[in-house]
Amino acid sequence: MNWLAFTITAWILLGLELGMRRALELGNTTISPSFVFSLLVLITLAATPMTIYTSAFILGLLIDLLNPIALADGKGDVILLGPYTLGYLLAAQLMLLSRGMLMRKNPLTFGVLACLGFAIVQVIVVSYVTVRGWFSEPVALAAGSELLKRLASSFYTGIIGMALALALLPMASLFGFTNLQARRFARRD
Amino acid sequence: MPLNMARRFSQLPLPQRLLPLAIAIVAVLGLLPARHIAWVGWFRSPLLTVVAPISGPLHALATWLRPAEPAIDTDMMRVLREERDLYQQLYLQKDAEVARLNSVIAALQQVRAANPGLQTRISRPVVATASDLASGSLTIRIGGEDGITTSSVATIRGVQLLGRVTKVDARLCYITPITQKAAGSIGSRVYLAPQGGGAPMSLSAVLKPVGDGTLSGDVSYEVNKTTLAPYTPQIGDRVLLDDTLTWPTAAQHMLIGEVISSEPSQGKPGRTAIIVRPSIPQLDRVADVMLLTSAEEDPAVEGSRK
Repeated sequence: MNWLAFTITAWILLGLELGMRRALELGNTTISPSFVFSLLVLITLAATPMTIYTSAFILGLLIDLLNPIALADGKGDVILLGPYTLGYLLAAQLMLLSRGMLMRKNPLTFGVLACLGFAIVQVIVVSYVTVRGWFSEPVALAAGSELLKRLASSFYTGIIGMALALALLPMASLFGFTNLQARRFARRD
Repeated sequence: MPLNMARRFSQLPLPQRLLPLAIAIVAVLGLLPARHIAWVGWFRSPLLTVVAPISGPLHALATWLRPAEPAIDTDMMRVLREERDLYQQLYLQKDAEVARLNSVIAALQQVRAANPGLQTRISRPVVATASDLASGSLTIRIGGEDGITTSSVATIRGVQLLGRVTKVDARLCYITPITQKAAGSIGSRVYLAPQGGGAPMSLSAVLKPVGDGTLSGDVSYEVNKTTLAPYTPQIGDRVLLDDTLTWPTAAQHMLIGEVISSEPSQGKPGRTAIIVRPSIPQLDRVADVMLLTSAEEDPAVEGSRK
């Protein structure tokens, strides 16, 4: 994989994540899409396992660093390295296992993977934070209602993922993913 | 078997060996208490600085597309609305201030009417509290040279009884708040809220400081002559000082507090035990004290002489 292309794309998508996510929120529900996760979906569709895990680790770590979690009782917030990092890694693992059965160049596949993968991330995040609360400071997060909203965000991420796929799939060659390129002059498999 | 696994692991390329280690470190770090991982926050600011060139314009675009407040017709309208909100806020603040001052004036007039022997009222700041907070004594910058005696009464704005002056130096005096255990028992009268248009009813009670800023005690047993039901204080009933034996005249009928609990007494069947909290919850933390001095001698001192 071309790591320079990865860095620039991650930078742009992180900007979108921080800048646009609030604007795309549905009402005041906190249901909003993730942009960065679409990059992981693209990498998972084409890269080698080691590259996928490394990318998932880096992207998850960046999201963890940018997402302070509020502690309960108004005791400020804390940056937890772990919830998103582990969530991205597990989601990448599951997407990697299922990619052999999918039509990788289809934006619909991209969207479905983004939706399912991000749902896994959210389940991991809520579980991790809940488990942490058992033996450390509790955080201001009600697991039940939060999970429902986050699953709705996953669905939203899937829809945005389909739109992003139209831009990201044609850029696959920039990342060095030749297996996602449309073959114009060769016989299709 | 573990040896084989370890050997196989050591044969992996460096990145493949580092990744599981990094994942394990991150997973454990996230579980630590917040005070141990506060340093993680140091990395957030540089990261935001890197992302800001792209997130900033996008955020501006997002707020333009979906503003936080509804669009205002013109700049003039916006200015007028802001001015309206400002003056409404100021009006409400002043209104509340006037209401508060009116209640203070009414209470002061009530105290004055109830204490014809009252001579002077002097406000002074508290300069120190006791180093042992359990004693709760307050030191005021006024003393015998200014006419303060042990018959002076310490109040808050002349309304809420604070305590008695226990010791007087030339320029300082010391006050023990009524909520401190050192203050001892205090005779009081609970004024029941009038029910059904009947005459106001009151019950006597001897209150003792509990030590948590409240006072407690049993009220006297009195029955309604028509219904034969005993009178019981209700939460919110006012409790005033009624103790001519140990407190100066200037302090009589001064507010001790309000009833916050009224339950059947544990020790005395048929009686009601009340808990009273002063209108200022922490009497030992006040900043200013108003001292009422009168010419009469402290009844407690007078009693001990007899």
